[in-house]
Amino acid sequence: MSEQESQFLLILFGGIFFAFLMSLFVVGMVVLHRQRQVQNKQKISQIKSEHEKTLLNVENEIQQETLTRIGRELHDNIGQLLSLAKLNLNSPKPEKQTEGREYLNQIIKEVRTLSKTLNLDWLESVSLDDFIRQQLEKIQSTGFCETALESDGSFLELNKDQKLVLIRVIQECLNNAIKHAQPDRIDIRIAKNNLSRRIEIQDDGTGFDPSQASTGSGMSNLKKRMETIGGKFYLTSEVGKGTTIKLELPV
Amino acid sequence: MKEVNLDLFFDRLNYYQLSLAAFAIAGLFGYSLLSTAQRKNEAVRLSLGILVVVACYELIGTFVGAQQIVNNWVYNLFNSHVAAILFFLLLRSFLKRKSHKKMVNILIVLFLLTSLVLHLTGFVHYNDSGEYISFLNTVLMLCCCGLYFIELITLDEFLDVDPLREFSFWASTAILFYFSSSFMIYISHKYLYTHHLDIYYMVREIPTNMTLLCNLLLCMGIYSPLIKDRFKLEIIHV
Repeated sequence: MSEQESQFLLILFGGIFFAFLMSLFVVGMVVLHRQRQVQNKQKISQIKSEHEKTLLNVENEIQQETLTRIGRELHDNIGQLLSLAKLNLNSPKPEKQTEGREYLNQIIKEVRTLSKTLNLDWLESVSLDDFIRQQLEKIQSTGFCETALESDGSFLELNKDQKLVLIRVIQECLNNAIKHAQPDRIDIRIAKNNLSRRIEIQDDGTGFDPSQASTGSGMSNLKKRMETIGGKFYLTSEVGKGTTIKLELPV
Repeated sequence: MKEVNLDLFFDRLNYYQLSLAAFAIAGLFGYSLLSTAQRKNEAVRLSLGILVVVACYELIGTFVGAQQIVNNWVYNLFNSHVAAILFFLLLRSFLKRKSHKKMVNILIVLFLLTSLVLHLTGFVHYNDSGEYISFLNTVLMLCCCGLYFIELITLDEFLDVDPLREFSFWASTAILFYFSSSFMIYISHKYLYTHHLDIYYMVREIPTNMTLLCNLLLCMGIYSPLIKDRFKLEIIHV
């Protein structure tokens, strides 16, 4: 083989090797990209299933709570009204019978109102502000503590999932405050800035140490729920100084 | 005054120069058919710029060569500087991270400053075979291609993208192959030309064909939005 031929072969094979290396690099990049896509898809489907699971749990909890409330309503309110209606309708006096019929009308109204709360369609009609107001009024009407709501209406536009989760998280926060904190006052403030909208639930109760494991699991559950709707959950509390919970959603 | 030798110029025109001119004309025609919004696409504009510049300097180079004048300055100026900067800018337009875009800007400035210093100090001459400048722009171009590929495999913005249908991916790959193959030829240019002329002519075909492939791809990049609009078919996403 002449020197020229060997140099030619050297250049040829060198070039082929170089081109092969470059092709390998590019193919490697595509393979890496594809792997990342697959991993991302798996991650997204996992997040999606977790999200659906959380929503299902939240719906179940709300339905269970609704059923408990309906049971209580049937026993305490409608049951009493039916007894009164029966007593009045059994009376021979016409005015009592009229009163009995009025009771029946009232019972029909109450049953209609109750039937509306049996499914979650009421969520569509109620705004988050109204829901919070109702909850706070209920708490205040029991004489347990003073409540106040300040809102700039920044949570009026929410989709059903977000509303469902927020309602459940707020309910849970209020229940926790009532059960464990014995506050004199619960304040809820709703406001927004350029980046986020925030619900702040503050009580002046006993407070607690958030680092304790016994309280951590419930809070992490609430945190997870907020994350499923793209939100954030912050809690600050100190023994004797009350608790502040901040629920944040992007604008 | 020396007479302009047009016959030799036309004699020297071969498939390479004619193809490049055809790509440039096709690119201009395609660009004129694009909508105003499509024309604003940085990658499309730069692709057209590259097509026109490459066709122009190849024709000028052939013309100057046909007048029996050393034409290395044409390639040193347009190929190694103007076209290289347009390629840098094209790669920059594919990048998503601001810091990476900034890095490309710095590389362009660095390249120009180094080239200026090398020319002013006389280390390189505007009419030499351009190995040093070619080495410099190839190294920097490989860095830019590297930045693109890093983004491709790390950024979430690229997760929804199929790289095999992405103009940026194919253009970066073509630029990577074109510059590295050209670089290999440039560094062996002097030696092969003086010692093995037949090998030189054979090897020279590699960057020549890579240029044609690269320009064909850029031309396709300009026509892709048109094909998408007219035939509802996206061959390559720009």
